[in-house]
Amino acid sequence: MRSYEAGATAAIATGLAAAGGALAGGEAASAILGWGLIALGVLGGSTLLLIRSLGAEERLRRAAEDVARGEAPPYELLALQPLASALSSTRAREQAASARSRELERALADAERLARAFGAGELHEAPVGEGAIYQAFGALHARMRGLIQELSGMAGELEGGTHEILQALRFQEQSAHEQAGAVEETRRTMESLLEASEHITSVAEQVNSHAERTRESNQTIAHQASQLNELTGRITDALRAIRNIADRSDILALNAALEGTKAGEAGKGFILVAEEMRRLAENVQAAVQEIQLLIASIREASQQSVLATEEGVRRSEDTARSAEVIRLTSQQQQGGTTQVNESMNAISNLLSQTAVGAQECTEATAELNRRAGGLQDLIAGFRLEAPQ
Amino acid sequence: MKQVFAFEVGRRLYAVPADAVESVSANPERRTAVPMAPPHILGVISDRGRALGLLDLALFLGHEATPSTRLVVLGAGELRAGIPADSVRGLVDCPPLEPPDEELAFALGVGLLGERPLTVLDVGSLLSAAACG
Repeated sequence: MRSYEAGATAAIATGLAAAGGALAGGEAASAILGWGLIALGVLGGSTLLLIRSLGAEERLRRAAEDVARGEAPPYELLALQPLASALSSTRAREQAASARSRELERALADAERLARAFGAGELHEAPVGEGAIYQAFGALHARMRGLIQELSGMAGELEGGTHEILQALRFQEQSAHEQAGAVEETRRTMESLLEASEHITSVAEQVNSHAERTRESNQTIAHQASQLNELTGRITDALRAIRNIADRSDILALNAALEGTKAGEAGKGFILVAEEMRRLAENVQAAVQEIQLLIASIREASQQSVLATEEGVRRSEDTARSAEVIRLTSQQQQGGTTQVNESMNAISNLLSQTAVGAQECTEATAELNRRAGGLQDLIAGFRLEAPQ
Repeated sequence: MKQVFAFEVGRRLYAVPADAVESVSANPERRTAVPMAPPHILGVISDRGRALGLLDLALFLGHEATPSTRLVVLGAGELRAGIPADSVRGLVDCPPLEPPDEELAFALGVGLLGERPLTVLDVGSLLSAAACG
């Protein structure tokens, strides 16, 4: 009886210790310890009663045997009447104690089984029975179930949360990578823009010098055209003189012919010569008139070319100014492009720092996720539902 | 009358006998106006030291005057006059002439020089009329 008691106590203690350890809850452990002590007291008391009742029965049996052998008077039995009634009462109590003991045994066995089950993480069976032990185990079971459920939920949320963070970090890492690519692309574009801008500057300088040369050429042309104008003016003067001479020749020939008529027959040859002279003079006048028309055309053309070259000078000056503006703008653009490139380098540095930070963060979160998985595994050691 | 001296005044073609023409010269740029003279007397110039009256033939014959380039100096006896002409054809063979209408004063006859009508003037009566008128 004692060894059984000790074994049960040890089993309960082990179960409780395991449950207590699993729960890491001091309050529940101490409550279980208290109930264990009470159970021990009850067992001890009933054992003493059993021992005492065994002594009285022996004495009664011996007295009855003595009376039967005639070694003792029968009143001895009367004297033992209270003892007998006491014995009867003791037997009744013994029986009651025995029943109670069985009840306790069953309860202890249940407690042991439950404690072992709790220790093994089997929480799917709720303690069923009457009494303080069952109540205590019921409370312990409910509390443990609640805690495990809560922990399981939290571990799940933790795992889910870290998973989401990991995804976000991967996205961030990817977008940082893409940004770095975009920055690199921008930097290359800026470099080609810079080259193009330098090319524009040099071309603008060339345009400027060409425009300057065009302006000089135009000025030369304008100068020569005005010289041409002057020359045609002098030609016109010369033509006027020729025309005068032709006119006077014409008059002279006319008068010669008239004189010829006055000479009668002798003047006829003279008249013919004079008329030939008139025709020559008229031819000269016609030729002069034609030359005058041509000269007028030349003057007009040269006037037009003077106007055109003046326009050309203005245009080439405009071109030179525009080319200068383009050159200056292009230089400003070069400055701006260089600044953008510097900014892009700074952004690139920041991005690589961010990438390193994101990498570290990812590693830490992955570790956290693994821990959350481990926690889940630990919690999975507790079974809240009966296996299917 | 084998040859006549033809000239143009007021875009009309006239001719005079060759022996009535003293000389031809450029139309003078300057002339001296004659006070109280009739409008067809344009003025006088000095021609080889002698005074020469200028007769606007177009105006005198009742036509519209045109710019002149030549001066034809006519003479008939004692009468002389310079007639500014648009242009001078010179000596031409005289075409067959018909007697003029009564309206055409101072005309010896009319004919065609090429396709253009030609009036041959009677210099004596013309100069007399111009000098008196």
